Amino acid sequence: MKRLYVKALRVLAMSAFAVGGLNLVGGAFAADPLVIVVSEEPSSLDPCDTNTSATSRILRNNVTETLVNVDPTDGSIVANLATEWSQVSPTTWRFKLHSGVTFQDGTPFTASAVAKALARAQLEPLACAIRGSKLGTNPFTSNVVDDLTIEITGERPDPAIPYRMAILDIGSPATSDTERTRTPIGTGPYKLAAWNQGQDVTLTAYDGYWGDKPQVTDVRFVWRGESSVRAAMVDTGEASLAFGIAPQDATSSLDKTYLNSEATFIRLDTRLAPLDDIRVRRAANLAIDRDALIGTVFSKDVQKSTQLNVPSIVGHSPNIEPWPYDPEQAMTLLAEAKADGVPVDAEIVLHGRLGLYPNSTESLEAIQAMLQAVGFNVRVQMMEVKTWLEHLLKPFDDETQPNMLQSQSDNALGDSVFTIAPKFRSDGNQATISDPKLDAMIDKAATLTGDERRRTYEEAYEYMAEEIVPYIDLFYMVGIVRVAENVDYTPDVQANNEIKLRSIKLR
Amino acid sequence: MSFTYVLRRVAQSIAALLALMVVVFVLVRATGSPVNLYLPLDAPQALRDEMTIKLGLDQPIYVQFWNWLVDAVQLDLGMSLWQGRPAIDVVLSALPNTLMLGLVVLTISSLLAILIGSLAAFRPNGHFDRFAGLVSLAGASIPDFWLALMGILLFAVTLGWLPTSGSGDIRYWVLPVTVMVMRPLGTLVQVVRGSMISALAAPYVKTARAKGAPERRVIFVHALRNGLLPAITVAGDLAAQLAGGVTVVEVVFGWPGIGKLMIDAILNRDFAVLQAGILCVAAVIVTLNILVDIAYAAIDPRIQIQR
Amino acid sequence: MTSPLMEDAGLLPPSRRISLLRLLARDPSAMVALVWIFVLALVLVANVWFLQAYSVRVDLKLRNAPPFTLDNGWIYYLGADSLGRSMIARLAAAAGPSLGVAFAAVGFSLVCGAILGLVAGWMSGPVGTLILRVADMIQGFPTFLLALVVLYIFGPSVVNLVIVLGITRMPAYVRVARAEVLEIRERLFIDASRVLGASPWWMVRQHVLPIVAPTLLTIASVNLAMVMLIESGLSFIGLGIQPPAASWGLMVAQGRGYLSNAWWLACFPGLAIMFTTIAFNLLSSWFRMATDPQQRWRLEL
Repeated sequence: MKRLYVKALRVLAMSAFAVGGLNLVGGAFAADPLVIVVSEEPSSLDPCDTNTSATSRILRNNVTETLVNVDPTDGSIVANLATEWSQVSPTTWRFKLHSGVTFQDGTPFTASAVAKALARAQLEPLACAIRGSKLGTNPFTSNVVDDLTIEITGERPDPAIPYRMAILDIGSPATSDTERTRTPIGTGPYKLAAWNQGQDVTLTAYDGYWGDKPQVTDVRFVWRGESSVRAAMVDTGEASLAFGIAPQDATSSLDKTYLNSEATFIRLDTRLAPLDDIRVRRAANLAIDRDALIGTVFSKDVQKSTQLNVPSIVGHSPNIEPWPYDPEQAMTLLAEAKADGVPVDAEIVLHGRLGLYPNSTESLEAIQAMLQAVGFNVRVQMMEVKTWLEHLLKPFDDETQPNMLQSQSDNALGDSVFTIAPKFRSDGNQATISDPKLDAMIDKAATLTGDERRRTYEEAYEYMAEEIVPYIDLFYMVGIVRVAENVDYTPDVQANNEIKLRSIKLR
Repeated sequence: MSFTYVLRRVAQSIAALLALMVVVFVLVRATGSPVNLYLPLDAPQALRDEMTIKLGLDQPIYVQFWNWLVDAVQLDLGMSLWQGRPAIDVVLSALPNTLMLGLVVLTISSLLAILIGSLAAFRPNGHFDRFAGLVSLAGASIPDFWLALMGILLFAVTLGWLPTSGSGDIRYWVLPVTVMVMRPLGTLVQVVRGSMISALAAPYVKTARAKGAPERRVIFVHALRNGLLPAITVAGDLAAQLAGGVTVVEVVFGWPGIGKLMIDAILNRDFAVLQAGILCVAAVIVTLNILVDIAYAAIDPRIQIQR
Repeated sequence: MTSPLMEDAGLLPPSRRISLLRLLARDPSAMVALVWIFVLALVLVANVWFLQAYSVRVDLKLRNAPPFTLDNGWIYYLGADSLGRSMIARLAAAAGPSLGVAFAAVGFSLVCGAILGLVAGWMSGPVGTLILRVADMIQGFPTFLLALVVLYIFGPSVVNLVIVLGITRMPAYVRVARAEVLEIRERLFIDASRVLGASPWWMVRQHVLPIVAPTLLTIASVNLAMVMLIESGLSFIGLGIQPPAASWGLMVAQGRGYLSNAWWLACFPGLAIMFTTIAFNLLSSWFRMATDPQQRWRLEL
């Protein structure tokens, strides 16, 4: 009886191996796919969710395409599916479309397809990710002039319409209006071969692509939570590209560093004492030894930030200087404030977000130590994305304790309009400040064009740096990608959000 | 062991499952509404209200539970908000991976434990026994996540013999299985050894030896039969733990199993997947317990099952 | 049948109790374990005394300083972590939470489990059955998963951690206590006591507890190791002790990103967990041997 039991177990084990092995092996490929390892699995591959980098890095300009693109070098708008665009009235822009383009399901690419995609992205029941933040609160309608011409109109004048079209990925008109699709169909050089939940996403070249065919025909995206594991995968040959490498793992000559248009900062809640006193906020900035953080907890290539926008964005002011490290001055300011009755000893909770960037938790601990060294009483509280989001966004009724929030903002879209209002306008849903003069500047700038627009935004940021000090500005961040020796790939400032598969060549 | 016994156990188990699901249902909703997570950052209140109604979250909790129960009986465990497909599909794409891993781990550790434990019991306090004692002690004491990391460091990064993570062909199984075998092996060796020592000291073993039976037969046929009983209980317990997915190992190795899925479901406030996952794991465990009881009774007819 | 156990529960005159220590001396591995526990106790004292300050001193210039060199002073002999804090100091500071949570959780489950088990055994009616069924439910479910869900819901504070770990381990005590009570409830001396007017609590204390105590303590000693491992796993995932506080499990998690270039960050805390767990396991198996009349002879020879 025992022997039978043992034998049975042995047989079970064998079959488990066999079945398990079969179960977990991915699909077979004609050619060996290029493996790219990223940090997280996309939660959606629907074209209207490309607001999230996990989704856009796989889809944007690979599976789906946009009407225009933002040039990574100077932030200008360049042609993609649209060949020309012009503003025909304060509220309307006209786009002329490329001819001879088809979707991967055979449907021809026409103005009505664009109209449908734009309408779908704004459908309330779908709750697309790009709706609120990037398309703005300005509802857009479109008018199909002819097969290759479309006019897009906003309710209010909006010079940034071309920028908004740079983030609208156009999916096939056959895409469902009532639910998210897990099989996106676009006009891009790759079509989705399979999405094995929890394992990988595979793309394969689309023969009917209207532009230059890519050299790499099969691509497989996998994800691992650990930077060291991602880096090791390139070393062992398991992957050709590994994104999101932490500074301490970037020890190989294969690592490429790039400025990634992210700015990290700590938002100060100016509604509650002692952070309602500008001296205290200035003291917080002076207490941070940014140079000590560079090359240690942060990569040696990060740059000290002076404002929210990275230098390539319209509205970045070159006139603002980074904060010096001056703990004595910080202590003096705190003493002054204390003498006036400001409760500088009150406990301030510093909300941190786990995994915000490599070493983000450690950086918070270091910053806490620096703040405490000048006399602040800071408690760090780390939290997951979802909880952190609740602290990031209004309403702030639950915030009864003075608080700071660790955050990061990316604006690869070229224009300040996308970030300044939500973050700094008094009704912005992430704003902890309320300044009417600033509000007026923000509103005015949104209606202007060209140099005037640029200058007004710059003035707004200069005003904030001098008179408001809403943040502890930290760094303009870099991304690090490890590239296998036989692969030719150069990341640009948009690489966090868009992995340009077309540009990858094999040596 | 009668049919009515099995039936009674099944009925008891279903009752226990129901109770568990009520608790889970209530607890899970205490983590906060998922509405805020799935809508864009500045969605208007009207939209949030609409979604709340659509998800049925505005109903009193017992109504929600009843609706869920009615659906569950028809094997509809709701829609995963996070992945946009039926929750049961999400769970069933992860649970088999864990169960496969668990089965392999349990089998290997059981076989090894029987072997090592029996040999150790043969000469208590002898060399092999001491060695077995050390091995089982180390096995039961090593933090599995630490061993996993050291394993990756040594075999994948430094030596390059094995892949760092993920799942696939047999090479992907080596590290996770080795790491996961340690603790069950340690525990089971001790249990088998202990009960084998008692079994080998029993009168009927002396009788067998006196009759001239070969030593191997004495150990593996006579003594093992009784020596295995406590081990089966412990193994059943271990199987239950493994069915829940050894979460840390799954996370470190990127193994797409149920433990990792549960963490992700929690992080994404996906009620449906969380409930479906717990229900499925509980169902597996309940089945395992019944099987263990049956195995116990089959091996030793002296055992009184009716309590 | 009960007397050998009673002597181990310390209910006999001191002269018999000394033999317990002598039994300990006979088992070399248990002695080693005891030494380690003693070292930990010293470390805890040192932490309170002066090491604490070093464990929070951030010095980015010493980030990931390597171990086994005295270049930076003896305090950095085991190296420094990713913020330049002394590993020795951090390990010491983490010992408190790691051990504290383990002892607190085990103590909690021991006391509550015993009480619930006694109640369940004494009043075997619907109350007793309910307690037993709930215990079954908890025991049947994977500990880690349960702890995960509960901690995520209620937030990962130290108190919640202790409560969750305590509750998940309770069923074993409940079972044992209940079984013992059931067995002796109908004994003659109980009847006699009852006739003489003794209250249930007095009977429990005088007759039941001494019998139940050794078994419960054995379970507790085994659980110490298990709870430590679970806590370190939870901290590793991020649901246990939160930064900037320290626990060994958390330190391993923090060292995870530095495996190839600063292995000591993850290695030393892992070793600390392992040695302590081994020590607890050794002590618990010694204790089991010492309290089991059939095995005790091994220590007495």
